Amino acid sequence: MKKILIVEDDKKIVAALTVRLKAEGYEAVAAFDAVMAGSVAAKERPDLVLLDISMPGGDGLLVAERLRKLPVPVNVPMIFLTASKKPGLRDQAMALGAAAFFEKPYEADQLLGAIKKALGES
Amino acid sequence: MERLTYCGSEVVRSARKGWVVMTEAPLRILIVEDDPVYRELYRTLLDLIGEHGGYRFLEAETGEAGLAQYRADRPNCILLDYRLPDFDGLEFLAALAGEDGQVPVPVIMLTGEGSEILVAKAMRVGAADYMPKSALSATSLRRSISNAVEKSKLRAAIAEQHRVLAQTNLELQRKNAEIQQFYHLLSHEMKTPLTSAREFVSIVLDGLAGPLSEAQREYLSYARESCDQMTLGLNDLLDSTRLETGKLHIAPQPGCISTLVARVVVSMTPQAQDKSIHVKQSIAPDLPQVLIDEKRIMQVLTNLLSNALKFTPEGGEVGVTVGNDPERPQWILVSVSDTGRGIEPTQLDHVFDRLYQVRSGDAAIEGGLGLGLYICREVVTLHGGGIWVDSTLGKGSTFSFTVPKCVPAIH
Repeated sequence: MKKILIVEDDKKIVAALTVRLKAEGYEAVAAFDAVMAGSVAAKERPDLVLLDISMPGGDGLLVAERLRKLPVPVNVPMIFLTASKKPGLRDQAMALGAAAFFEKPYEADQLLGAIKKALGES
Repeated sequence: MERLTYCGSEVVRSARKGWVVMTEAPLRILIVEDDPVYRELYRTLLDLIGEHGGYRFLEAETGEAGLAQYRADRPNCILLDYRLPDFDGLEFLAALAGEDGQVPVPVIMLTGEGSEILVAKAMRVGAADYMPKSALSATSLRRSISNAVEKSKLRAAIAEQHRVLAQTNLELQRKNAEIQQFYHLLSHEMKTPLTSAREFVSIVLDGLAGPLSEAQREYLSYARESCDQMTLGLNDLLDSTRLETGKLHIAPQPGCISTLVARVVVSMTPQAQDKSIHVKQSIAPDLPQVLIDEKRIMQVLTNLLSNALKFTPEGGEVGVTVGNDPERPQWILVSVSDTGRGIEPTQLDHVFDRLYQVRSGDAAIEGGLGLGLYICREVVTLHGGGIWVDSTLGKGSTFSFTVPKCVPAIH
């Protein structure tokens, strides 16, 4: 079973994503802030990371960079979700090697499609 | 001269005007003149006419003394001999001018023969008026003083208004920035709960929480539509604050307008079908590429088309036309027409205004944030194009806009 790490400060969105991921046969683990993300990722070794960009206490883009620089780097596909419409965010995410970038509210079909594609399942 | 006090004001009887109420304090005139004969002459001329008796005189024999007297007493007007023992008129004006280079009090230059050129210069640096000593009369001197004082009062009033306006303006700008910032935060903060609401509704709709009855499915799909409406509203709010603060930028790229229009029409088909509206497309073949920000032009088209569908009654027709602009060869013209009730001529000029609400008398089709057409106009303008509306009451409206063709690079 492929494991997906959700880094997102809104617990309801984490819950909604978890329902979707489980229904698709994935295991979902969550980190609720930028600081937790590193330790959860190091411990759980996910196959893919879903990241919110604007979180209190840290920016998802920085989290992604940090995960890539862990002692044992988390070099897995990363998909960003954001409620922000700040110009240039998509480009920044793509420059970091993001597999996909979605604005909130996201369309679950599209998100799941991107996850499958990033995991090489489609 | 007769004077009396009436209701707290001084009332003076003038030979020419009869009784005149003195609503202001008498004018204090500083005479800077080294020749005592002339000082006496000015005083006499002013007193002679005696129209309101409203002069008090201060006198100085030299420029230095004149400046000191000005600083001590702040007279309303200065009568200045152009040639003083220590200063000439220009030097006196320069010494009088404040840090801003403005002469703070009206100065009337009294000139002898042969100083016309210097006097012209003095007028440029801020003298209020000049009079040749050889041609002084009571009337002309008095008129010159009253004109100069009046002008200086007006100038002071205008300067004060300018200052107040500038301050108010600054304050408004600060407040506006604050409001824009708040809207930005608001739309961002609203989106997170909206995302979770929409997504949980979708999860139930997709059957992930068990089977649904038809009614449950129908009601939840309404809930999801409402979430989508809110998202559109929040995005419009964000765009409009960005437009207001000049932070919305477009990234134009070569693209195909026909494909874009077709895509938007397809995406709006469900709404059209809901009201049995026929969407008639008329797209000219072989159109050249355009230079546009696809997402933004798509937003414009979606907005115009969704308005057209909103205002067209059930079973009506909406038309989408794309072709060369017959009047300007470098532009493509896109039009969206509806068969709605049309727009009142008085409202036509305002439909693109920010926060403007069309009043149609039909509550069902009013409402909205009043941002959609404003955003359309701004986006089209950012592309260098134009947007306008033609409307006939009872028949419908046509919204048209232009986008630039890709111009081949000139080598």
